[in-house]
Amino acid sequence: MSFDTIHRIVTSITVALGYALLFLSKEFEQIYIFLACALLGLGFWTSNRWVGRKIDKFVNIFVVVAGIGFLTAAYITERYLNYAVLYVVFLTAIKSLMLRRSTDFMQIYVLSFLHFISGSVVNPGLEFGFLIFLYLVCLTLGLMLNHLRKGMENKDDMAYLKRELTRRDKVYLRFLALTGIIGATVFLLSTVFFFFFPRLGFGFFASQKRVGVFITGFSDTVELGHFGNIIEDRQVIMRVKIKSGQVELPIRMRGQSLDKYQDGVWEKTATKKRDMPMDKDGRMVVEQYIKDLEEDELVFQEVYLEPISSQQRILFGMPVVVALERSQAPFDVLRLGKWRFLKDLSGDVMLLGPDNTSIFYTVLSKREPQIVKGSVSHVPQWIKMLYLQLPEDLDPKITDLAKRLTDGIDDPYLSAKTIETYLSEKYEYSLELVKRDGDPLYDFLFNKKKGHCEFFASAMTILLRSIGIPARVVNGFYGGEKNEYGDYIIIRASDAHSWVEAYFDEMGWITFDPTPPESRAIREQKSLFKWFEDLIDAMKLTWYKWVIEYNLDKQIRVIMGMYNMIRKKDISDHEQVGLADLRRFMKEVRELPWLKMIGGIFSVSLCVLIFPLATRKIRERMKMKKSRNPIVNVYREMLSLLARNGMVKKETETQIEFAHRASSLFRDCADDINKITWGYINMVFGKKSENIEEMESALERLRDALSSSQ
Amino acid sequence: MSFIRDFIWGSRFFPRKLSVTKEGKIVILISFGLGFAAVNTGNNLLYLLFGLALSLIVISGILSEINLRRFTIDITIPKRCQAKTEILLTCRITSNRKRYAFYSVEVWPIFEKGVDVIEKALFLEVNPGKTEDRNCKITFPLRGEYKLQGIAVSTSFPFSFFEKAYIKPCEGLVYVYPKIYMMDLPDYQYLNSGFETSRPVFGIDGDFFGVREFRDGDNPKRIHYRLSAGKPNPILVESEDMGSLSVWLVLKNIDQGYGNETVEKAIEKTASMAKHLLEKGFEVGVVTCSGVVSKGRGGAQLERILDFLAVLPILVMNKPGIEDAISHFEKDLCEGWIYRIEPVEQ
Repeated sequence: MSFDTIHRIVTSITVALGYALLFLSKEFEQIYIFLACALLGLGFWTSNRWVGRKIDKFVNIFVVVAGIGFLTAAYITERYLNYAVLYVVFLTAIKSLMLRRSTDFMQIYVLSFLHFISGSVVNPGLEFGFLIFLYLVCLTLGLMLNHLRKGMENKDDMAYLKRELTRRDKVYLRFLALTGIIGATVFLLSTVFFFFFPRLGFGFFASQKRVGVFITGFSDTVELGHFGNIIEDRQVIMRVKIKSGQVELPIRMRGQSLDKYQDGVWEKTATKKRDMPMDKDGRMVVEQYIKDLEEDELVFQEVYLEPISSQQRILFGMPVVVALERSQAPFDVLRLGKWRFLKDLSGDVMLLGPDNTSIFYTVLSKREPQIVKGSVSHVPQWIKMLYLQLPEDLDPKITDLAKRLTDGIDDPYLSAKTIETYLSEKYEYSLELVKRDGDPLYDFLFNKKKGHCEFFASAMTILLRSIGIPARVVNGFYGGEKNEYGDYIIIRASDAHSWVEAYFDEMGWITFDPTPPESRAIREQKSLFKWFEDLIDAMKLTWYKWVIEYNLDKQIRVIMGMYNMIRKKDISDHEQVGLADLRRFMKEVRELPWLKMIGGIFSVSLCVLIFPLATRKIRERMKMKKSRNPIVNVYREMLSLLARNGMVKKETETQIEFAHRASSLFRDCADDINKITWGYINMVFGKKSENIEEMESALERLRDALSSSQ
Repeated sequence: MSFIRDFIWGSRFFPRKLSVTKEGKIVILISFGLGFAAVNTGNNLLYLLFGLALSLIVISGILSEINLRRFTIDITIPKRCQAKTEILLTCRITSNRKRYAFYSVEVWPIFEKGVDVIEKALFLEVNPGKTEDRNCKITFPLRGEYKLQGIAVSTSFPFSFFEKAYIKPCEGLVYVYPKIYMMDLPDYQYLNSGFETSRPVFGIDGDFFGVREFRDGDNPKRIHYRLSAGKPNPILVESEDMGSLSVWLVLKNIDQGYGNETVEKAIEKTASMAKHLLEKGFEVGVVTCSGVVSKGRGGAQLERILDFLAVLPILVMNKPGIEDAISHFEKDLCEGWIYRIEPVEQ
């Protein structure tokens, strides 16, 4: 391929990568991006041969008019960012039709860079990481090729330019290898800059956000049937890493409980929330009995919760959640948006703070007790008030059903188990959103007899309440997939689930799940490329944790980690890094022997500067001596010996003339001088190899004679 | 900002001369903008792009430095040339590298007095161990002696963001003659008929005329080697030529308040006239306020006149009696036509 074709291909790919980033953001009408790509292809195909100076003038006017149009549209719709990005795409598309000189290519590289700047705002996903890497390689190659093109154009000779552009040997393998090395170096250096440039982003004008997941079913009012909508959604909601304790799949991540049911709507009436108290270990306490628990009774789970488009977010954890930890707390005070961790009367935990940001926290859960029977004779009054509420117009058939099912069973726990078994065995699990007649609960229990988890949970709760067992519906997630690459469990929106918690004396809230077990099999979607999905998800998690959400806390952690690594100190992953650590680090840095270090660096620099000068003569002599031919070395040694005795060979003298002059001065050594000289001449000019041993012995004799004469 | 650039280029304190290209300015501007945006928004992807822009700048600096190393460079300059005329100089680069080629290196000479570099010698690519020659096009704006200071080597490899250069010290001297242009000789026919001399002078053909020492520009074929033996300089044999015409060009190299330009024009006119007269076979001599070039013919005489005119000073004021000296000299001129050239207001 000719140089010009390669340059155009590289440029087209560079621009296309920018388009791809904007396309994948789904923020813009896809037709615009397709159109821009088509123009890019047209520009490449025609090699912009048809573009002339007259068109330039027309295009300039067109660009200005379009700019006014875009500005007006942005003003009317108030979508300034979108129209600004679209205008850049428009300019790039126009420019891609007019690539002739190196300046045009440079302009299009700048425009493609603007695409990536826009992409950093509208598309911060993992695809940005992939595309920026490819872009970097293409940009490096493109800029280098453009540099060569500019050099050709500088000659101002069209014939030369045409010849050079059509040359096929210009871009060869070694050049590409060089570009690859440069691209990799730029990437590595960018990474260093990225990790060590101080994170001072306090968000004075704007703050970094991600597009949050919109998820229903987790608010104070939930209409029966909503879970059916999100169950087919494969979006990742959270990633859970079990740090201690044996846990098998599927896992249950409890979210929110609801207490009042009326006309097909569950409602949370106990909405009063308060900040969670901190214990002496810096943990946010949910249940006060945590202090009585041993470490091995707890299950530690690290949860990375994806951004959710809501200011109030439910924090999930395995039941029973007793405390929460958050390792990145120390520098929250520096940020504008403050986080508040709240809990309500029912033990639900939530976070109040900036929306559209992810959150990383650790949950401490107590395992549920294994029981065989329970009683409800000493239930606290507030629990009775909240969790024995029945709908005002509850059909008596529902109460009758509950009584009929538990007839003859004295133990409330066994009654609950019986109802759970009845529902899971006699009713059918279905994701179909069928139209319900009248009260959806009645319709489920006596007519349709099929539905999804919400109906099962609601039915069991009302049935339990109707026989005097306090119960509540709990919404959360049940399921999960193990990610082999990241050693964590992925919880998706499709894992959303409803179940029941019933209260028993001394035991507290116990989980019941009346949904038939085959529901998991129905909901589980087998993927042929699970390994690939896992790999991508693990990369996504790393990308979000270490790139998108890299902040001052993590930066200090990285620096401290490196510092400790140098000092050979172990730093645990759990270890919190806070202001105190920073102060200690700064103190240790201040205590370093700076004067000695500066003195040392100065001395070394001086040596580096002086050493080449000081050793120049030595090196020159060494170089002289390094001749491969020993005869040459013998002759040079003789010259050196004679020079030390005042007989220096002039530049204008031949070897023979010098030998005559030296022989006349050192008569005793005349034979040896002549022997070495003629040996040298014969070797250099006559290509005759003299006996080196004889010459060396002559040199020895000369050395002895000269030293004795001194 | 050009004075900073001139200062850096003129100073030996800075071994490397760095200037930012138009593309480089754009990249720096974008970097500043990105840095500002990243710090304000805390958007990590902007930090990443900022890092990328900084990396490109840093790598650009490192690679340009590597690109300027491990080659030897040489330039061939002429001993004599004309002012205001494009001159091609040959630059030679030999790569001392073993593996990688170097790219896009520009070379041009640096003289003590400034010259106009029209086109630098561009070595787009020199493969390892290879030697390549390229031409550099320059113009000397004025006549005079131009001392070569060094050879400037620059590169904007790899991304054209910055131009890094250094000056390799080098010695050389160029005599720049005044510009010679085509002109009509004044009253050529009249000169031809009225000022014929009968005295035989040296020429190319004819009988033996005499001998003299060899001078620059003489034909070496006319050296008499037997006579030259034992002499410090060669001896030249001159032949008799009967048809010689003598012209004295009297140049008043004084700035009479019209500016140096007018004097330069007068010098150029003198040089041009001398050339054309000598080509027509005239015997030409030059008289100025700063000295005289005795009469002569042929290419050697032209060289003598041009050498003299190349370094002819422009007198800033009319020294008392200098006009009289010229007049006196003119009177003493034994024969020949006198043509006066004076700076005139334009």
